[in-house]
Amino acid sequence: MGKCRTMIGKKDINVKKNKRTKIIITGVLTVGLLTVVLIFSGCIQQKEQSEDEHTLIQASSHDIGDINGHLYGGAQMAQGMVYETLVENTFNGPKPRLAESWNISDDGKVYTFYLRKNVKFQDGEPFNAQAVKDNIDAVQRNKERHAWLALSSKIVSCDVVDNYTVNLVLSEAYYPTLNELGYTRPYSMMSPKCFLNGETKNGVSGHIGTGPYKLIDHVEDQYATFEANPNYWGGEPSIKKIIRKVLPTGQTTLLALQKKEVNFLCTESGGNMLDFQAIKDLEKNGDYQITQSDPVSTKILLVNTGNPDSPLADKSVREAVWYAIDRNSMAKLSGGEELPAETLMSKAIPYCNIDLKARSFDPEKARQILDAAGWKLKKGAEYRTRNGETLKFDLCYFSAKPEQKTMSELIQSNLKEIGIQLELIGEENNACYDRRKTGNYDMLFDVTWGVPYEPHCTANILKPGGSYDATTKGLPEAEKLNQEVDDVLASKDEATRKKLYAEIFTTVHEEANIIPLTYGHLTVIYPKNLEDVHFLQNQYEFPFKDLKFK
Amino acid sequence: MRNYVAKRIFAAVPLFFIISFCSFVLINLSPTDPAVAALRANDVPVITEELVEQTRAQLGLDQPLLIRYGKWLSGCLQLNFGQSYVKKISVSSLILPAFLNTLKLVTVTSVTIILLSTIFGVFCALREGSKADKGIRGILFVFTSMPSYWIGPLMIWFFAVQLNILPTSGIGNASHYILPVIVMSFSYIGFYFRLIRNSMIRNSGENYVLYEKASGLPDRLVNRHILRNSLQTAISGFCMAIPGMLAGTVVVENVFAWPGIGRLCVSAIFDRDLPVIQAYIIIVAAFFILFNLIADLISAAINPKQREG
Repeated sequence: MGKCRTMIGKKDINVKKNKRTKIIITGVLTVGLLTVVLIFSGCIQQKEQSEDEHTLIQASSHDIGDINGHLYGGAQMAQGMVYETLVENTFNGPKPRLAESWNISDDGKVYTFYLRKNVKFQDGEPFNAQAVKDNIDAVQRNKERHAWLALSSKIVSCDVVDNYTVNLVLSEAYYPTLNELGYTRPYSMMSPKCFLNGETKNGVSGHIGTGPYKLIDHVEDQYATFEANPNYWGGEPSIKKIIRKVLPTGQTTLLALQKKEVNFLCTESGGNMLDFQAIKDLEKNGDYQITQSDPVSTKILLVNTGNPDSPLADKSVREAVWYAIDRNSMAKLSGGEELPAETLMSKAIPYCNIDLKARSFDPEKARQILDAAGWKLKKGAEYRTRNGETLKFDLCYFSAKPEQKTMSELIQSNLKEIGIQLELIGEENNACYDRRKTGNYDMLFDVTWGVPYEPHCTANILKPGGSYDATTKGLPEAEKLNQEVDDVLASKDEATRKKLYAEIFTTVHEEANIIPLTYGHLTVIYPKNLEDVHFLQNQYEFPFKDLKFK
Repeated sequence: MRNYVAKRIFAAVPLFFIISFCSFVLINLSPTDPAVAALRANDVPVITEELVEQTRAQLGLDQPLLIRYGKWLSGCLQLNFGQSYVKKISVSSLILPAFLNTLKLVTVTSVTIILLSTIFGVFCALREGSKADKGIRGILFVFTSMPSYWIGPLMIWFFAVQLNILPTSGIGNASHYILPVIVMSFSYIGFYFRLIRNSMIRNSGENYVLYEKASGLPDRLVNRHILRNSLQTAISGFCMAIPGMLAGTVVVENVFAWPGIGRLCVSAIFDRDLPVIQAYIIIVAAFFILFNLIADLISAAINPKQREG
C-alpha cells in the first residue's frame, strides 16, 4: 500500500513537471513568434522609398516638426520650401516675391502691396488680397506670441483695396517692416482653407502654401518627402523630389553620405556635431562638393556688467579677457568651419561695415591691463588678487552643444595664463536660457541670431527687458544706448540708420560687454553633378528650387 | 500558486501609485517654468510675462499641484496621458508609435540575448577550462566592454559602407534590425552567458547531481536538470533587463536613427515637455513592475520553495 502511494506521488510530480515544461516552452515559442510577427509587420508597414539618382536626399539632425507657417515649431528650411512671403530678403535688400511691387506712404505708416497675379495655393485656392488679409489677421490675433517682432505690435490693420492690392497700416513708421515681412515666419502665406475656424494659432488642417515644393509625406522622427509643385508661379523646380531624413548623430550622417543613402547636407550654424575634417575627406574622394557661405552668425560671450560686486563690472577686466582669448586656436577646433571673430557683427551684415579696433590675441597686453587695474599676481600665486579678493568668475555654457564645452575649456586655459580663475558651468538649454533671462551669470555663451535678423534684432535685445539686458545694465552709456536703439528702429533714412548702428555697435565694442569668439558659416555637402548651389540671405532657408542636376 | 500570484499583483498596485506620485511631484519641482520651456521649445524668440501667463493658463499649470496630479492620474488610468506641451498633440499618439518601435527592437534583442547567452553559457560550462571556454569568454568580454556609441558606428562602417550589405540606419525591413540588435545584444550577452555558465558550474557540484549520476541517469538528463536549476538567477536578472532596455536604448536609437521612445524622451526632457516625460516614466515603471512580477512568477514556477516563502 505504502509502495503504491509513493508511485502515485511520483506520477503527480512528473505530470506537474511536464506541465511546467510545456508552459515554459509555450512561453518561449510565443515570444519567438511575436518577434517574427513584429519584424514582418515592420516590413509591411514601412514604405520602401525608391529613389532615383536625381532625388535629393537630405540628412538632418531633427524632424521638420509642425511646419505651420504662422508658428515657430517647425524647421524653417522646410517651411521655406512650402510657404512664401510677400517680399524676399536678399543680399541687396527686400525684393518682390508674392508681392510684385509696393509703395510706402510719406509718413511711413501705410505699405501698399500689389500682388502677383495667377498665383495659386497648392490646393488650387487662388492667392489674392483676401488670402493675404486672412493670413495677416490670423497672425495678428496671436500677436503675444510674436512679441519679439516689433512689426507685430505696429500693425493696425490689413485692408483689401482690390483683388490684388492690400494696404498694411502701421501705428508708426518702422523701417524693418519689409525685412520682417520677408522672414520665413510668421507672415508666410498659407491657404485659408487650412485654417481651423479662421485661426492658425492652435494648429492647421494641412500644410499648403504657394511655394515651389509640396509636403506629400511626413513620418515623425523618420523622414519628410517634398515633391515639386508643377503649378509654381516661378516655374516647376528642376529637382522633382526631396526627401529629408532624420539622422540624429553626426557620425551616422557621414557614413550615410559615404554609402549614398543620403546625398545632401546643409550644416546648421553650430548645430550638427559633424567632423569637418571627415566632410573634407568626402570631397577629396570625388563624390561630393562642398560650398561654404559667408559668416552668418557669431559665437559670443555675454558679459554681465550689472553686478557691481563682480570683477567684470570693470571695463579693464572685460578688455583683458578679450585680449587673452586665442580665437585662432578656437577656430581651428572647428576644423576650419569657423573663422576668428574680432567684432560682434561681421562686416557682411547690413549696416555693420564699421571700422572697429581689433583686440587680437595678446596675453601680454591683457596682463598689463590687469596690472594697471590693480589685479596683481603675487609671486608663486596662480591667480591675481586685489585687496585680498581673487580674480575669478563663472562661464556658463550650453552642455547640449559639445563645441561650446571645448571652446569654454580653451577660454579657461587662456584666462589661467593671465591669472584669472574661470569656473565652467555646463547646463542644459532651459537652465542657460533662464540665466540669460534673469541675468544670473558672470559670462554666458551664446550665438547671435544671424542674418536676416541682424542687426536690428540684436540691437533691440540690448534694451532693458531684452535678452542681453544684463550686458548693458552696468554701462555708463546704457541710457544713451537705449535711446539710440529706439531711434534706429524708427529711422526713416539710410544715413541716420547707418550712423546710429555705427554708434551702437561701437559702444558695445568699446565697452567689451559682448566678446566675439568665432563666425559660423553654413556648409553644404552635395553631389558632384548638382549645379547652381548658392545661399540665401536667410541662413535658415535654402534655395532648393534653383538647384539642378547636370 | 494562485494565492502567490494574487499577493504579488496586489503588492504591485500601491507601488505603482507611489511611483506615479513621486515622479509627478519631482518633475514639477524643476526650477524651469514648464510654460516658459514650452514656449522655448516652440522657438518663440522673445518670451514676455503676458505670454507666459497665457500659456500657463492654456496648459492648466495655474491649478494646484494635487488637483493636476488627480486629473493626470485619472487620465492615465484611461490611457489618456494628456497633450504634449511642445507638439500640441496627444501624448498617446506621440508615445505609442515610438514605444512600439522600441518594443520591436527590444523584443528581437531579448530573444537574441536569451538564445545566445544560453547556448554560450551551456557550451562553456560543459567545457569548463577548455580553450573554447577561454576563447569565448575572452571574446565576449571584449564585446561587452565596448560602448555602443563606439561599436555602433564601427559596425555601420564595416557592414553598411565597406561590405555594403546592410543599411546604415533607420527603420524598415528586417535588415534594419540586424546592426542595432547586435550592438544592443553585445553588452548583455557577455553578462548573462557568464551568469548561466557560473551557475551551472556551481550546480554541477551539488549533491543532487552526484545522486543523479550515481543513479545512472544519462548525461543529457543530468545537464538539463543542472541548466534548469541554474537559470533562476539569469531569469530574474534578465526580466529586469528588459524594461531597462526599453528605457535605456537612447544611444542605440540615436546612432541607428531608430525612432524609439528613448529619443522621444530625451528630447522631451530637453524641452521640459512634462506630459511626455510623465507618460514615459509611468510606462517604464509599469513595465518594471510587470517584469519584476513575471520574474517572480517564473522563479516560483521553477522553484516551488519560493511560492511557500
